Amino acid sequence: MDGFLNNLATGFGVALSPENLGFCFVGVLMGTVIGVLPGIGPVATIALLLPVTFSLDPASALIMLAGIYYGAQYGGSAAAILLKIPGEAGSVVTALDGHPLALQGRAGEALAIAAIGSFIAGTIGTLLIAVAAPPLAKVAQAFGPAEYASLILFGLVLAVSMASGSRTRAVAMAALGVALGLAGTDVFSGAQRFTFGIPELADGFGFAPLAMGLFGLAEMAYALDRKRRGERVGGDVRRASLTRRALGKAMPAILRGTGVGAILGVLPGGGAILSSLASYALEKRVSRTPEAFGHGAMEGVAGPESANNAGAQTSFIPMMTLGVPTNAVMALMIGAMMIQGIQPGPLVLDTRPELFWGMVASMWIGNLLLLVINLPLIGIWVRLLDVKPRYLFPAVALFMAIGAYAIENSWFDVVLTAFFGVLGYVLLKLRFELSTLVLGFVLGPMLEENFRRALIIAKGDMATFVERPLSLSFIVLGIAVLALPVIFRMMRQRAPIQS
Amino acid sequence: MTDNAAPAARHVLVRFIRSADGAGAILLFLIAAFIALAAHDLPLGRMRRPGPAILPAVLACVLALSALRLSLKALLTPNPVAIEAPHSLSFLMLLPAFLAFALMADVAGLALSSLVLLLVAGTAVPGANASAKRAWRFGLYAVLLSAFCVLLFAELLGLPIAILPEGW
Repeated sequence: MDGFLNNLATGFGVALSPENLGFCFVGVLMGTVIGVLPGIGPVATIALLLPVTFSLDPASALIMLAGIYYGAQYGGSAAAILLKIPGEAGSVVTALDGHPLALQGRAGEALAIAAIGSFIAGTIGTLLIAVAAPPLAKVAQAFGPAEYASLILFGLVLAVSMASGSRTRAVAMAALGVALGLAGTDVFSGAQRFTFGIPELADGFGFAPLAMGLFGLAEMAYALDRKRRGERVGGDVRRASLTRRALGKAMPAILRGTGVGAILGVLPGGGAILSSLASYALEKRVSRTPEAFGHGAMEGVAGPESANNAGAQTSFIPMMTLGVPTNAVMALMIGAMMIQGIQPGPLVLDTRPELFWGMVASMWIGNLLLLVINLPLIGIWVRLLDVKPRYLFPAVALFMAIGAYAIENSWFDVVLTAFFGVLGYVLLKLRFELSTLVLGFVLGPMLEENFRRALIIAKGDMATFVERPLSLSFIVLGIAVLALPVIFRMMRQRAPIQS
Repeated sequence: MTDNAAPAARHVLVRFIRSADGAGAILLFLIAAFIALAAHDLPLGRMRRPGPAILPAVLACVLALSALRLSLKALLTPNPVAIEAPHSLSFLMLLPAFLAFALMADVAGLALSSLVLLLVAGTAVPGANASAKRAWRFGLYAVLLSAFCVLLFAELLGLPIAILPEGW
């Protein structure tokens, strides 16, 4: 208990320094401002704002990025409720009941519930991280290359099986992501792989150009090529308003959503969309008026929004303790850490405690700031929805170009961003999902390095992956994830014959 | 019989290429072939010491198999989902905007390259220059935003970027 309190005290000591408090505030504010813009979700927002953190020290940069993440998530929810334009997959669920509520003139209430639900979920999620991360990091220190290789493979399998849309497409995107991640100098042999004689590619494709190209430029081009307009809401949305009775009524949904999100967020491939969907399904099931869902049920906003945030919070646990990202946002956070020269993993907790605990504390502060900023400022966010695309898109393009150039003062990174923008646009047009690609990009090199190292240690004996209990358990879990849907399908097909 | 077979085959081919699954399969086949080709001169190694070509070879196979599965889906589905036609092609101007910035940043500095990017990217939004008034307004906006970016990135955040062309 003492250790727990000491750790939190260390964290709050770092996060409450005037400088870091300022970065957290700016992060939350910028995240909300960008996230509320139609069609720009948390992943794109973080990718766009990544360059702003380059010149900061690692703790401040991560605190700011976490703030950007929460801000972007809330901003995305606001766009989903007010305009029915979800910036990310997770907000699609929020729009189902949030937008009908807004059309009934209850936008302020829905936005307030979203903010309060997110705060409560964030608080519980932060406590869970503080409790669960240290023991998990201790376990992770016992991991060898075989365990890591199996864990990463399991993560990829889960990411593919939980991806929205076709599995074949998700497998292909994961494979393409891994392939892109392999470019550069091979760490074992020194051979140049996929570098095509270009010296700038000796260290592989940069993460920032890839993220900005795929999520910034490509998404922007995709948005420009489609004519998509949301339906504006009626009623007063200048400020969020909520009665105590309405909050009391939504509280069970908030707590249920927090529980669902906290569990699903830890799973690789889980995160926002799965948490929101599972929470929405749960709320509909336990509701006495399930027919109200889809027509403006407050529980349909409270549950998924809390689940979304709790999942966002607990997805930091595997990222910080194992160095394994569970979703695209965590992949971006790992990329940001690597840009800052930090190798995420179990050692961070021992070697850089101020970084880990500072970030944990700043998560809670970030959630509190979200509440403080968003409740009174909702009118301003609503007005941001009116920014004309002819002003917005060129500005976003400029931020991306400067960000790409600033990484190493290199024009090549700007060209790479444009290349990934073209690739991303083509893939989006062909209905591929880009999140799985980014996960593959981050996990691929880790998978290869650990797989090859494990084989070298075991003198080429593949049995090493099944002889080690932890490694075997990840492989069994992976096979179960792949096999279960097939088994269920076969059982469903057999059932009518037996009856 | 042969006279009818040719148009029918052409119809199937066109439908295949225009479907998201068919075109996706072609793209994946091309990427798989590219990976296999780019990694063909790398050593595969042995189980005791796996080489740098092992994973690329596996990935090329995975991509080719995914492509095969998508191809079958495109061919066997009666009405495959077609690729959505773009509403406007003006978004293509984002590419020259980026390339202009890349070419100019080193020699012309942040202020000028930002301005050029904004002016070119401004044409990417349909109807952005529908009237002279709109164009003037956007020009003024581009100048102000370029100045803001110089202030934010070069002055406040201290990123080591030249602001003006060398010698100015």
